[in-house]
Amino acid sequence: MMKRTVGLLMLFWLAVTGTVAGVSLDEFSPERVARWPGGIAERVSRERWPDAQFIYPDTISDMVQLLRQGKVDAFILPKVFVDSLLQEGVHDIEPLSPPLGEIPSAFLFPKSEKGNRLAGQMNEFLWRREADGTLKALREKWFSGNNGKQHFERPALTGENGTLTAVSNGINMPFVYLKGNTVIGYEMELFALFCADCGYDYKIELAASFEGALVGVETGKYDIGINAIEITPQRREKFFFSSPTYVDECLVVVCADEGTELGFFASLERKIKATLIDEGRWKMLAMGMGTTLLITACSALFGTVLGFFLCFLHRENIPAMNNAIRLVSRFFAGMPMMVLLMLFYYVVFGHAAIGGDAVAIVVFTITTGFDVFGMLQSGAASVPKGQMEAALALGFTERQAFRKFILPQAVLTFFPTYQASLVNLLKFTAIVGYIAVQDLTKMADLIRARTYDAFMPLIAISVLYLILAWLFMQLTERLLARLDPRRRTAEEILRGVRT
Amino acid sequence: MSRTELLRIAHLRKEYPGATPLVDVNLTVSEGEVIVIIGPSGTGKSTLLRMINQMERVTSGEIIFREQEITAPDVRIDHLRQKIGMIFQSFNLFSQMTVVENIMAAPEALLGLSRQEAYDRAMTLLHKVGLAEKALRYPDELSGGQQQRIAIVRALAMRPEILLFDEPTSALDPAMVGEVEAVIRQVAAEGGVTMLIVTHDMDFARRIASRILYMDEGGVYEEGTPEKIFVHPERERTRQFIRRLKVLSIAIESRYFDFIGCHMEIESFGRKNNISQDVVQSLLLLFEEIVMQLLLPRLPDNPRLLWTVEYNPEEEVASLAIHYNGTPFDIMNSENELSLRIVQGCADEIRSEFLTGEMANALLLKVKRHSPERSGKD
Repeated sequence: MMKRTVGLLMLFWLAVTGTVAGVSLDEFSPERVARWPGGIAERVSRERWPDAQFIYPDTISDMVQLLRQGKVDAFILPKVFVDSLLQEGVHDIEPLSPPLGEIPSAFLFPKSEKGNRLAGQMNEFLWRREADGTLKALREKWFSGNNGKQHFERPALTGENGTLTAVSNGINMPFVYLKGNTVIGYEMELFALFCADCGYDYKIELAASFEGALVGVETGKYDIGINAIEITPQRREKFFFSSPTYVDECLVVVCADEGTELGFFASLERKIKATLIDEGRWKMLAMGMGTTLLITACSALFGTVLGFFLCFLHRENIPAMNNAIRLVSRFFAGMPMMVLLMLFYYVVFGHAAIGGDAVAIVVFTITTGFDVFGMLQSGAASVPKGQMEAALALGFTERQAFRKFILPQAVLTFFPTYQASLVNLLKFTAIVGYIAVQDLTKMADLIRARTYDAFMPLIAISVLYLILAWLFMQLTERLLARLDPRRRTAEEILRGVRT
Repeated sequence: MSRTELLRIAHLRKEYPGATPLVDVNLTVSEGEVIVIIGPSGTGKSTLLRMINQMERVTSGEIIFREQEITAPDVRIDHLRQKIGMIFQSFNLFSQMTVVENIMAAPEALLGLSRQEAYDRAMTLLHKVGLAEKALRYPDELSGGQQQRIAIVRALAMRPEILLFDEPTSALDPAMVGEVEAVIRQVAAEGGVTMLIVTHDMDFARRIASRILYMDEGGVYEEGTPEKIFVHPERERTRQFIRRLKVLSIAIESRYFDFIGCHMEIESFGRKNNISQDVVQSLLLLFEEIVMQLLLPRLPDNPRLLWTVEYNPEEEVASLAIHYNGTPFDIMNSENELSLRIVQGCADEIRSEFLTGEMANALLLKVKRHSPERSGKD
């Protein structure tokens, strides 16, 4: 086990490729470039390198990872992000000069009447705060390096004009990012000040991806997107933007000459410390594990109940009802889980004040319910028909016969499949990050985004998932032991009888 | 001793799409009678039995049990069934329950007996049939004969007024038929329970019956005491059936059944009954093509198939009834044209019936007198 781990780590290190340091932007012609879609980076890089292949990682840490592993020759990012990478201790990258262009970024609002009003208020606020020097002070505070040390106090909020729901992916340091359990950053503080000035309260939700956040704003689920969002003509068609909160340079970043490298164990220790101990990140993992456990356990429980309920309903043989059940079950079976989650979160419960974890429980309860229903159906079909006849001939009603004789056998036949599907359910919950639930996987993403280390958080959550899966297997084994009539002793069979 | 009427059946008719096994059945059963129903395959004997406790729907006609019309819409059939016990060809014990639980379940749940009372009743009955030591075994640990005895006990534990036996021994190994028949005779001898028994075992029928019904042509063709039916049958078809009919049944319960053994059984059946070599050859061919080629591959994983040959030496006619489980499937729709052609060469009057219940599908056919080779030369 240890040997294999060491081997993997070695590969990880060797993947770092040669560098092109010292080259200027004009001499540079990359084959593969990582960048975000749209905006200035899109326009200029396509003109400049028409033959290059572009890939679109979701996060900055992914970009660093791709560059380190030699999968891209360069990535394109705003200067602030490059600066914070350098300050975070990422020494194996180097920006080329001159910059590719300028990037204005701003707050994003839905294209609605409310969005328009908010954008207007925000612009007025920005103008006022620029004039009184607040913005300049904030920029100095957040962009002068010293990352990770800044503090941010949630100002006193009256909430007299209502509560605004904001969305971010929470990994755009120093604009907006998660530290411990609080979202902080330049735009975040700006937004908090805006809320204080204009009499709003706010809450912020974390979407799994930048695109996810944009969809949420577009559907009006969120009032404002805070994500250092670049102003582009395409986005203007769908959203309202505030005036720019910041205008940045757009840089092309390549691999630098190797700096001084730490020894293997020292480096491992640093990674473990960064993943688990710094900023109390183990708490994030513990919370994530709790959320994953909660969603899985609730969905498994409610889903099983729903499955049995559907089974009984189906046996009533009401044609319209059974057709409806079949249709709905087809619908849920034919949908990718992620699409279902987003559909429920943004559309079905789009305007309901209901959190992502509740939506996840609803969706997984329904899918598990239909799973269990299907398993019960095929389990019941596997019981020889003669047993139903025998029960009816003795004078039991169909319902009694089904519950007393058929169902217990059906449950036994479906049990192995049921166990597997519960473990599957646990694994499926890893995608709830898409609807702003901070489960175990999402927490690992957030940690990865701060430490720029893909390895440790993934190892950590792998172990935690294994523990959870083991736990579920143990629980279901116990249940089976209680359900299987053949595991009973003679005393249990004859309980309450004098022989 | 004047006997009260227990059951009256009048103008009972059963239609299936494409077949009408029962056209007009009339029958009165008095308390304490033991009635055995015999007749060629496909004449609706089992169907009649299954309509009495409403396991099959009645197309038209009356069934009056204790002066109550049981097909009436407001009748609680589950309550009536508590008084009408049924024993199935395939035992149908509840497989997740021990023997004693199988017997206790219904009295405890439906008659309101305490656990202790239900247990005592079950054990008394088990002692009677010599299976008390198996009380805590599960059905699949017992032989077919033992399972069927327990099924009888399970029905008796409800203290029914009438017991319906649907071919209780035809799924059993010949070695086990005796023990089951002995139990049925014992129950009959104790009296008190009226019985209706469908069977192909003529010897058994003769020994147990107070009255024999011979069913044919869609109804009760002739009835009377065993003496009358077996020794002095009055009507033509009864006479043919009683005097001449030879029956061979082969039950198949696995894809890997003893194929060679079945071949030998068919051959020895032919020798014993002086069946012409042509017909025996046709029977062997039909067994091979219908069972191995056409049906077994289509049956579910727990195939159940009952192959019954009835040979009438007077007319030198062999007819076949093949009952099987699984989804209804008409062999005439098979894509295996070679096998189909062989079957059609060997037999005619081929028809399928699809009923409900265990082994609900039936394929009925008459074997031609001459094997296909010979008839080709004629």
